[in-house]
Parts: sequence; structure tokens; C-alpha cells
Amino acid sequence: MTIYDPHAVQKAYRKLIDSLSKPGTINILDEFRDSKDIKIPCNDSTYLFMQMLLDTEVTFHILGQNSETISKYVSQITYAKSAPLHEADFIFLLQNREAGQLVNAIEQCKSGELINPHQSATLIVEVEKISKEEKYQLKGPGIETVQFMNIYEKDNWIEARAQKNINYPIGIDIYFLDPEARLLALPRTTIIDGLT
Amino acid sequence: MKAYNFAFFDEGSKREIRRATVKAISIPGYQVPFASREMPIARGWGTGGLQLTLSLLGQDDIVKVIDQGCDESVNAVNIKKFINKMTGIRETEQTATATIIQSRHRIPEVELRADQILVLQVPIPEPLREVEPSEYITQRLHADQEYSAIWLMLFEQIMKHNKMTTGADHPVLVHQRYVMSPSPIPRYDNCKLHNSKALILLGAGREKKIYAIPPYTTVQSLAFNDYPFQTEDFSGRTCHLCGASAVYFDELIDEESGHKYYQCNDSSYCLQRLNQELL
Repeated sequence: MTIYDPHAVQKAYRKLIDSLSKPGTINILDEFRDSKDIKIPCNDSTYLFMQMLLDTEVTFHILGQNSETISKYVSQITYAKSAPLHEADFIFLLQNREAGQLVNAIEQCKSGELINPHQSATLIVEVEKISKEEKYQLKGPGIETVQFMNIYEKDNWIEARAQKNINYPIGIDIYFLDPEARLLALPRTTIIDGLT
Repeated sequence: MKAYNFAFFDEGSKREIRRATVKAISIPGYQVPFASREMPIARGWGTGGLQLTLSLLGQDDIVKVIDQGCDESVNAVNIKKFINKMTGIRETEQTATATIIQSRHRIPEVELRADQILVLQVPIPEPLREVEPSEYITQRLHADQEYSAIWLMLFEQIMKHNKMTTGADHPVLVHQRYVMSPSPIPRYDNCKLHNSKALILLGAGREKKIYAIPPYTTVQSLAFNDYPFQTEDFSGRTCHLCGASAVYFDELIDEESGHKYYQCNDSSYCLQRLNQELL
């Protein structure tokens, strides 16, 4: 396995597009397990997303333990520059982050402007588990009627995300990844309702 | 072809197009600017669509390319040859077999599935261009959702001609937010954009814009209550080759008799009917 496998990245990209255009759809990046030969304390799929999205044109921010050391490493591999949370194009939240950092990242990150709503941050979030359990109901573009999902995450991020996306098209997009290489993506257009 | 990376582009170029594409999917109908590479075909000949297609393609894909509904026109054949040289992947003329369909000015007659991606080539992505020449201003009009000029344009058409005369490229409202150019597809195809099962990506190479319609997204053709949107009327007409009705036709004229006759515009659909694959 080489450091950068264009075909693995292409397959992951197509799965990202599938999950993003049909929110609630879980894709499994299973062909990429244990594929990296550089050990950084993140999921293999997170590392793959770094390869897919980062280069000299964009900035990133990593939240988790030893984030400074990891950021230097990621910069060396991708040539992307690390930036403060409120300026970064891509924010990676590793699973060993502190409690509250996901909500803080959602609140602090850039959400674009009405003229340039695409100049908003994208969050790539490692979570404990992603499933189709009917805890949250999803509606919006990409969903025929409704979709269901559950994301095992201690932070109460749903409300923070709803607040961030309240002035559509301004808003943020979040990609969730779990240790089993499951991927679920929520564009800013998706409305989440909690089910009791 | 070993001299080139898989799918022609270097990985940095693919990455930039992919980043623009995911933003476009997240903001339906919004035109995301991208760098638009120099391509070995001229701008205006499908470079936007081709760049999108190349950024998507993998080794397992099967690609179909059509130009005005035809798989065999020069533009479609050249693009297919180029894709094949750069990737070695399979080509098809059958809509149902393809995983990625690149098209100029038509959406195939066969309904697309959720596992397919339609890539449309776009010459002028800005629906407000006819009423506002400045890109600086149109960006601000989109930001403010200020679309009165395009409504006025349609109103003036009704005042002059008693109908909307947009022909192809009739503007649409996507997810009740952005007015969008659907590319010069006939009005007949506008309805296929609404709640499409397949992801639709639109690429404008010369104008350096990528935009998207995710599946199951509301797409309304602009119209007035008393002047509803109307598609081309082909009632009572049938294809002179396969006998199909209620499809989009080419109108042909017999030069000797002056007699008009009709033929399916989607050539692979017509051929499949003739081969009794779709009957």
C-alpha cells in the first residue's frame, strides 16, 4: 500500500457523494481498513478523508489529543496548512477529543456568507458509532420521505448545528465517521428531528 | 495511456473539482466556482461536464456520453474516446447499464436510478445573465434572492408573445432558494429534474462553475399562476422508426414531399425499442 492510492480515494469520494446526496445513507469504507502505513491516532477513514480533501489550497484544524503534533504530520503529508478553528476550511475532530469540543467547533467555525456560502467549514467528526436506529428523523433534499439515524456522541450537537444552519444557505456540512468505517454525511439542508 | 494519470487529471486537480462538487451538493442550485482546467477539447464543447466526469470515474464505472440525445454525434464520440484512452473503462449506449451519464442538452428517456449520476454540460450557468451582464451583480442578486428581473423577463415574453418563449434552458427554482439554469435541455426535460432519483451534476468549464441537484429535491420551472409552465407538445405524434409516443421528438422534413415526420431524439431509446429491449 502506497501513501496515496488514487483509486482508494476515488472510491471513498464516490461513497461520500452518495452519503451526502442522500442524507441518512450509511456507506462503509471497508476496503480501506488497516490500509494506512502512516500511524496517526485517527480512524483509517479519517486519514483517507484527509488525503481526499486536503492540499495547498485549503486549511485545516485538528481537535483531539496531541493535535499540534498530528497537525504538523498532516501538513507534511498533504501540504495543507493548519489554521485557527474559526478560519479553517476543514475541521477534523478525533475521537479522543475533550467533551464539548464538537459543540464548540460548530459554534466557532466559519459558515460562509450569503454571497459565498460555499466558503464555510466542513467538519469531519469521529464518533463512537453510526447506526440506522430510529433516534433521529431526517428530512430535506436527498430524502424521499424521511430517513432515520443514530449517532453515538456525548456532545449535544444537534441544537448547535440547527442554530448554525438557521440562515440557509449559510451553514456547515458535517461528515461523521466511526471506527467500523461507517460514513454518514449531513449537508446543511438536512433537518434533524429527535424522536422520543 | 501510461503518460497520464488515471482519468487524465493530476490528483490535485481532481481534489479541487471534488471539493467544489461536495459543496455544490450541499447547497442545491448554487453555482460553486472552480478553477476549470485546460482540456484537450475547446471550452464550450463540454469541458465542464468532462471535468466532472473525470473527477468521478473509477475503474469499475461504465460511462455513457450523449449529445442532443445522440450517442453517435461527433462531440459524444470524441469525449467517449478520450475517456476510454485515459481510463480504459467500459462504455455503453444503454442508459440503464451506465453508472455515469454525461449529456449535452438532454436527459435520457429511460428513468434514471438512484445509483446513477447524470452529468450535464452547461454553456451559460448564470440564469440571470440575460438580464444582468455583471457577474459581480448577479452574485449579489442570488445572495439577496432578488429574482424580480428574471420574472420580468418572462412577463415581457408573455406580453409580447402571449406565452413564455424560453425554449430550452427555462429557468428553475431549486429547493425554493436558488434560481438555476438547467442547461439547454428542452422544457420537456425540466420535469425530470424534480425529485429525480439520480444525483444531477452540472458543469460549466468556460464559466468555471459547478452546481448540483441532489436526488429528491424540489425543482420548479418558473411560471405564473395564469400562465403555467408548458412543455413542448408532441400529442398525436409518433416516432416513424419505433412508433414511440409521449417522448421528445426531432422534427424532420422530407425534402421531396415537404412532409413533416418525427423521430425519437434519444437515439439509444429508439434503438432499444427497435430491438424490442424496452417494449
